[in-house]
Amino acid sequence: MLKKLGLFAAMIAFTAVTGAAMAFPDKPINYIIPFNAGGESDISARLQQPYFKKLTGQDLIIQYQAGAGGAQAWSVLNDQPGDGYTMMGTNLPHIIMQPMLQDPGYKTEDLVNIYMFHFTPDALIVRADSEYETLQQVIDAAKAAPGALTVGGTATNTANHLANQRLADLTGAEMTYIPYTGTGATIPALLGGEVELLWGYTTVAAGQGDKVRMLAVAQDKRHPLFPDVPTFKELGIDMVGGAYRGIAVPSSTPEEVRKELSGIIGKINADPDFIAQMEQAGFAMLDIPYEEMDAFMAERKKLYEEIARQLGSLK
Amino acid sequence: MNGRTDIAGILGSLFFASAGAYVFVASLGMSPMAAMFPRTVGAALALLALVQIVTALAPRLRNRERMVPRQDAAGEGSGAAVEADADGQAESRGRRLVLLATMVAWALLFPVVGIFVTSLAACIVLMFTGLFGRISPRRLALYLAVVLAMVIFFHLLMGTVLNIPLPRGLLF
Amino acid sequence: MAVDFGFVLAQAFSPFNLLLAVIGVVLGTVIGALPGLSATMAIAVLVPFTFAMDPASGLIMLGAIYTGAIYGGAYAAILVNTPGTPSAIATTFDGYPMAKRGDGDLAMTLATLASVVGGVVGALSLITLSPLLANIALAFQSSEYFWLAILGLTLIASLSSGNVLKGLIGGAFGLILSMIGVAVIGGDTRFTFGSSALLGGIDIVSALIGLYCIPVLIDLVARPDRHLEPAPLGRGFRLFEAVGLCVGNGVNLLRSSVIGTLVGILPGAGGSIASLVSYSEARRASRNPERFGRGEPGGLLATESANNATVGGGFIPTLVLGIPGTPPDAVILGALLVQGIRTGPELFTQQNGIAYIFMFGLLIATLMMLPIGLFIGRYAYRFIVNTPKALLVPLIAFMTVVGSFAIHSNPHDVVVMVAMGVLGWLLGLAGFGPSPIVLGLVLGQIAEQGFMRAYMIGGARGNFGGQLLFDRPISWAIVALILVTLAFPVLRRLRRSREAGSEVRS
Repeated sequence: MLKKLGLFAAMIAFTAVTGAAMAFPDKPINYIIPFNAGGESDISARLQQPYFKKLTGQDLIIQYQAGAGGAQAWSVLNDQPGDGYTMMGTNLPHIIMQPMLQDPGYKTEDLVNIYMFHFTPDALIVRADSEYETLQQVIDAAKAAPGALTVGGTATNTANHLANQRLADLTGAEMTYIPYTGTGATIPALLGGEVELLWGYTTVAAGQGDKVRMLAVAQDKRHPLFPDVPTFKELGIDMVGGAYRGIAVPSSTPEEVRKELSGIIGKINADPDFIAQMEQAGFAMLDIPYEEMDAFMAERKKLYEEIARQLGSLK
Repeated sequence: MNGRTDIAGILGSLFFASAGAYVFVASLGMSPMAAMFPRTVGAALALLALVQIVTALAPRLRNRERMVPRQDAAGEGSGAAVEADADGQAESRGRRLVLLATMVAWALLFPVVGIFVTSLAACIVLMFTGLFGRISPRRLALYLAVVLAMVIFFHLLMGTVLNIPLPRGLLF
Repeated sequence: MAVDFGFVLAQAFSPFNLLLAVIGVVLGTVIGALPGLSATMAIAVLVPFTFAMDPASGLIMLGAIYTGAIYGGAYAAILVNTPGTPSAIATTFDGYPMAKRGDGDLAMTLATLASVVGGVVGALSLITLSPLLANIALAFQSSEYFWLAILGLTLIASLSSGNVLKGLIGGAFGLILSMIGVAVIGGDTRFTFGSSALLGGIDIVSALIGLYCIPVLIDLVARPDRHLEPAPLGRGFRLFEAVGLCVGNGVNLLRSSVIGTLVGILPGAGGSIASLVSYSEARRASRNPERFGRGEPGGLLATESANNATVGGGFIPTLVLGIPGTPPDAVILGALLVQGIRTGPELFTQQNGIAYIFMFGLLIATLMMLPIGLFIGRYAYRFIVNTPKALLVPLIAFMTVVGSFAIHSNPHDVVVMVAMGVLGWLLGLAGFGPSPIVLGLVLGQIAEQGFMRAYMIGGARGNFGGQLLFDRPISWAIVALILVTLAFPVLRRLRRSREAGSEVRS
C-alpha cells in the first residue's frame, strides 16, 4: 500500500512538473478493445500500456467490449466524447470487410484511424508431431483427397476463411474449413488433434513455441522470429495477407489531438525495447501515422474489394 | 389451478408456436451450416407448443398439471393480489405498470437525455412506487437524500473508478 | 524439483502480499455482488497498478479479485434472485427460496463455506496436478462440448418437475435466443430483424439480469410486505449449523468441487456449466431431490463450491498451455506476458518459483474469503432485509440498469435487459419459468457450435458417427451421465409407486 501511495505521490509530482509542457494527456486514457481479453489486440494493448505510462505519465485503461467480431464496439465509437481520452483498437480487414458484406452499424469511413501499428501475417500451422513437413506435402495430400483434410480458423468470412479459399483457388488444394469462435479456441483444437492444420498468425506459433510448426507465412519477407519458415511467395504461391491493427478515435476529436495521440503511439512503436517485445511475441511492426492513413486505407480497401468479390462468388 | 383451463399457458404456447414456425421458415433461406440448428429447434418448439395447447385443452390430462416451482417469484404476486380486495388489486396492478413503464422509459431515454438525470428521475419515481402507507415529511426528505446519494455514488463508481464511458446526452 | 518452497511460502505469506490478498478479496466480492460488474472488468482496471508492484504481488492481488468476484456473485443470487454472472445461475435456484423464508443468514454462510471449500480444492489441484490435468483441455473436443451442453440442458427436466412440457418449450425458446446475431459457423445473420445492435447477439448477462430481476422488482412493488423474511434478532452467523450441513453434504461438496475443477480446465465451458452440472448431480444423488429448487442447502453448496473451484481449474490450462480457461484468466495471462513471464510447463520448475508464489497466493486468498465473506455476507444480508422497500426498489432497479450498461458500455444492452424482463414476467404469468430459457440461452451456442463442428469434421473424414460419439470415450461417459440423469426420476417414480401401491401422490 505504501508503495502504491508513493507511486501516486510521484505521479502527481511528475504531472505537476511536466504539466505545463505536456497539456495532453493530463488524465488516464480509455483504450477500448472490441474483442475479448487474450487475443492479439489485447496482448498488443497490454504491451503498449507500460510504454504509454512511461512516455506520458498517464495510465492507459484497457476495457473489453466484445461482440459481433468487433462491430458492436465500432458502431458506438462515434457516440463517445471526442476529447482524446477515449480511443479504440481497430482491425483490418474487419473494418473494411464487415460494412462491405452486411450492415454492421458503422461505415468504414466513420472510423477515424490515427495509427496502424502492426501486422500479423497469416500462417499455416501444424502440430510439431504432424506428418506434414512442408506446404507441398499438404497440397499433395489435399489434392489426393479433396476436402478430407480439416483446417481450423476464426469464424466465417474472415481473414482465415479467405486465406483458405485463396490457397484452394491458387493451388487446387481443397481442405475443409472449420470455424471457431476466436484464436484462443483454435489452439486447443490444433493441439488436441481435432483439426490437422490451422490458419493462424505468426503470434500463435510464437506463443506455442515448439509445440507447433509453421509451414508458410503470408508475408513479403520472412519473419525475423522465424528465419527458417518460408513465405508463400517463395513457394510460388502469391499470398500476402493477415490482420492489421491500429487505433481509432471518435470523429468529434479535434485535429490537433488526433495528431498528438498519433505521435505518442508512434513514439511507443519506435522504442527498441517495445519492438523487441512485439517481435518476440510474433508481431510484425508497421508504422502508418495519422497523416498517411487515408492513402493506406484507400490502398487496402481496393485490395479487399477484390477479395469481397471472390467471397461473393463463394456464396 | 386445477379445474380451470390454463388460458395464460395457452396464450404463451401460441406465442411460442408462432416463434418456432417463424424460425423454421426463416431457416429455409440460410446457408446449410447455419440453418441446421434453427430448423431443428424451431420445429421442435412449434411442435412442443402445439402439444402443450392440446394438453391444456384436453380436460382428461389437465389434472396432471402442476405449477412449475421456479415461477414462484413471478407468480406469487398474482396469487396475493387475488386474495386482496378489489381496491388493493387495482392498486397493485397500477404499481406494477408504473414500474414497467419506468424501466422501459429509463432504458430508452438515458442515452438521449443523459444517465445521471434519467436515473435520478427514475429512482425517485420508483421510490414512490415502492412506498406503502403514509410517512412523515422528515422521513421522506431522508429517503430522497439517500436516493440522491445512491445515484451519485454509482455514477462515480462507474464513471471514475471503473472508467466506464457513460453517455452524456442532452443534459448529463 | 528446483523450486525452493521455503522461499515461495515466505513470499506468499509476506505481510504486504497478505494485505493485497485481503484487499483483492474484498474488492472482488463487492464487484461480483453487483450484477453486470464482472471479474474481468475489475481485473482489467487493476492490471496497470500491478505493473508498479513486483510480479508475484501483482498476480496475488489479481487472483484474489478473481476468486472474490466469483464468490460475490452468490450475494445477488441469494438476496435478490439475480445471478450477476452466468456461474451464479444455479445459486438462485435454492439460495433465493432460502432467503425468502428467512434463512438468508444461513444461505450466506453456506455460500461462503462452499466457496472456500471449492476454491481450496481448485487451488490445490492447480498446485499439485497442473501439468497432468492440463491435458484434459486438449482431450475435450467439439463433440464433448456438445454433449456437455446437452447434459446441462437435461437440468430443464428436473427444474420443471411439475410441467416438463412447459420447461422444454422454454428451453427451446432459449436456444433460439442464443442463435440471434452473426453465426460463427455459416456466417449468416440470424434473427436480428435488421437491427445492427443485435448482430452481436443477446448478451447473456443482460438477459440474466432482466429475466430474473425484473420479476422480483414487480413482485416488490405489488405487495407491501417485506422482500425477505428477516432473521430473528441476535441470531449469529449460524456457523455451527452451516458447518453441520457441510459435513452432512461432504460427498456433495467434494464431488461438486471436483466437477468445478475439471470443467474449469475446459476453455470455453466455464463456471455456468460447472455449477449447472454439479447442481444436477447433487440433485440426482440426493435422497430428497424434490426439495431442490425450494431452498435445499445441498443445491446451494453444490453450485457455490463448483463455481469457485473453476477459478483454480481455469488457471491450469492458462499457466501450462498458455490457453486461458475464462476471460479473467485471459486478462491475467496478458498481465503475465507484460511482466515478461512465459507460460508453459517450464513455469513450474523455474528457480524463482513465481508460479508457485502465485498459486499459494490464490490459496491464501481463498482461505481469507472465510472470515471476510462471513463478515460482508452478514452485513449484505442485514442491509437488504432492513432497507425499506421505498429505497430497495430504486436501488435494485438502478443496479439492473447500470449493470447491464456496464457490460459493453452500450445502451442497447439495457434495452435488451428490460425487454427480456418484461417478456420473462409475461411468460412467468403463463407458467413458463425463466430458468429453462436461461439454460437454453447460455448453453445454446456451445451446443450448436460443438455439434456443427463435429458434423463438418466428421463429414470431411467420412465418419460422422465416430466423430460425434462412437470413437470418443469421453463422449460415451457424458452420454451415459445424460441417460442416467434422464432415467433416474422415472426409475425413482416407478419404485415409489410400487412402494405406495396404487395411491397417487398429489
